[in-house]
Amino acid sequence: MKIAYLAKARPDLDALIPNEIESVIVQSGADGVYSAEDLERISDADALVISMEPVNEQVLAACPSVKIVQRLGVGYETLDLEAAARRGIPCCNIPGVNKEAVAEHGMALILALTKRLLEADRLTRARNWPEARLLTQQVFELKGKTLGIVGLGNTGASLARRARAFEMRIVYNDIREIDAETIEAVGAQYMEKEELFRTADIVSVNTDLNESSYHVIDAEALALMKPSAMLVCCARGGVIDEEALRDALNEERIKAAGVDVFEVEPIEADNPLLSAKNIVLTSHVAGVTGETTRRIFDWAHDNVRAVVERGERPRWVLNGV
Amino acid sequence: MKVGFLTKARPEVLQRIPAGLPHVVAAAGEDGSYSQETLAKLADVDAFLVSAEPVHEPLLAACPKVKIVQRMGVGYNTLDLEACAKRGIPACNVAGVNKEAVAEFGMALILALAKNLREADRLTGERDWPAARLLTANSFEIYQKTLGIVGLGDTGSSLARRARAFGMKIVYNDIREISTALVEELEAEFMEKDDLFRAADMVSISTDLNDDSRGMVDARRLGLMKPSALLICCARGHIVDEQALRDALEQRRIAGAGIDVFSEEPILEGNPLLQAPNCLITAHVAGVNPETGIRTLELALENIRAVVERGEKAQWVLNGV
Repeated sequence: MKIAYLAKARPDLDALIPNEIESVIVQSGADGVYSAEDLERISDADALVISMEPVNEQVLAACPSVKIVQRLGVGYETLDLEAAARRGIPCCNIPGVNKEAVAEHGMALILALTKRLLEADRLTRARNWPEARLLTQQVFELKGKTLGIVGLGNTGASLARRARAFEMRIVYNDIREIDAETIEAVGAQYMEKEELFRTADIVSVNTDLNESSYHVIDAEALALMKPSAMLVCCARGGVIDEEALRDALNEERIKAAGVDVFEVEPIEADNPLLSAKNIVLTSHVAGVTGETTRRIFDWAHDNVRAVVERGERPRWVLNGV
Repeated sequence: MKVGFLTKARPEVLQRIPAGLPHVVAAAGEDGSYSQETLAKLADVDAFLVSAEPVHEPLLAACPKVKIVQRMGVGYNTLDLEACAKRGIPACNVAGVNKEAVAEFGMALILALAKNLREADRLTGERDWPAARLLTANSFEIYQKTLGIVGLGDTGSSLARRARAFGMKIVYNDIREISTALVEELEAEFMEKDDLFRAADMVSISTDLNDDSRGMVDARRLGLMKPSALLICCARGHIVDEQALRDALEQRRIAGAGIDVFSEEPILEGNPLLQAPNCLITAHVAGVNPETGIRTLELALENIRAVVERGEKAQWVLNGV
């Protein structure tokens, strides 16, 4: 079995691919197009395993033996589902595989922001004890506060469960109907987006990137938020209007933000958020702890083997094949 | 009624003193003694409201009208309980008032360490995306890990409740008997201290400073911990041997530490933890935020009024008076 990994080169990749799998790793150019040379190298692959690279008609036409397109994660906006469906190739993600990790990263950001943790550490290290103590005037408790979750799917609900243990009130918005069990488990209350932005002390965006979530956090949404409010996003770049967020932070129209995802990744030198204050930035790592990565690769390889080696139907099919 | 506020000049505390309350603010010198001038100012107070200053026999002898010694917080290691008792003066804390704040802070430290948040933010801010991504090889999920709590009192059990929502398993040690109801609620397992240090993925010190806890986290106990383990202490200085912890961190015998309390506060220039790797340090602020501060002061003043103005028995008496 030969797998083509469409992924940016990373040093730990070899260790994550079992020895018995013949592998080739390629990535697209900045324009999303693969070179003829790379397409030649993957032309006899049985499966495509995808990090964040595009899968489109160009790739599929070049790899006639491919029987499954498998994402290494949850989101799938780089996959052309229809192009694969026309060829009878299932496209699959791994829903929920990193929901615990993403929820943990979300809580890590929320807590770091509300406790001003990184500044507190910096000032304490500098032995500026009075300033470090004075920071506490801007610190607050999560207890009794309201967490507004946009997108109460796997990661949103996982975040909500944790926040409930902090005695937070949960309000949510979702374009889908959420099952009653999930809502009851976290005592969540539905709100229209505008009302959620007005009400929440902390807004967390947990939706995937789709037409309704593109720039869901824009100048208008930010203007509705309380001056004391904080924004956390571990979802996808594109859900936040980054310039609008920078302006809201620098003009202190909202208090702070924690952002793990960017409209262009790797983050570019002119990204507005690099010049925002009261912000904690991480590099699209919320779902990527060492353990989560191993689990993702294991599950992805299992799904690929099911199709290629055992002729079974794969799990988590996104395109109805 | 006149109140002696024993506190270092702390604007965030002083500004909350109710208007119209007769009071005098005083602090001890570096050696823990009060100057003659200070004692003269305090001579006619009816009660002490104590931040982190010492209350000892020389102070009590100089203030014969004092009817209650009231801490603005939970810990009471600066109060000479026996000296107060000999004079028939109740010494009181405000038990449990900041347990949520301290538990939140503990979770903030655990998550920030598990996610390498300080380094992640720094590297992302510097646009070193590959290095920021590589950090994830050492980050981990706290999901299904074991949290060892030494001291399952108000803050320890509040921390445990939050950790449980992250899917963590709780083991604990306490020199007191813990109620069956609490142990069952948390599905917590008792362990001897050494076993707890061996078993836990994170150890949180949530005990007060007493003969049993003084020096408890020494080189030997740190040696029992897993190389992947984290140590958290938002309790009191003198429980953790700071040089031994620094050595363990430098030699990677444990993975990280989050420390809010120190042997000397404000932290001294030579404190070993100032330069320790993988160590977040903060300025004894876990229980401090405006909401908790207001609540603490209100409860403390109410206790003082009960004793001084209404002749009632005080709440939260620590010395049996």
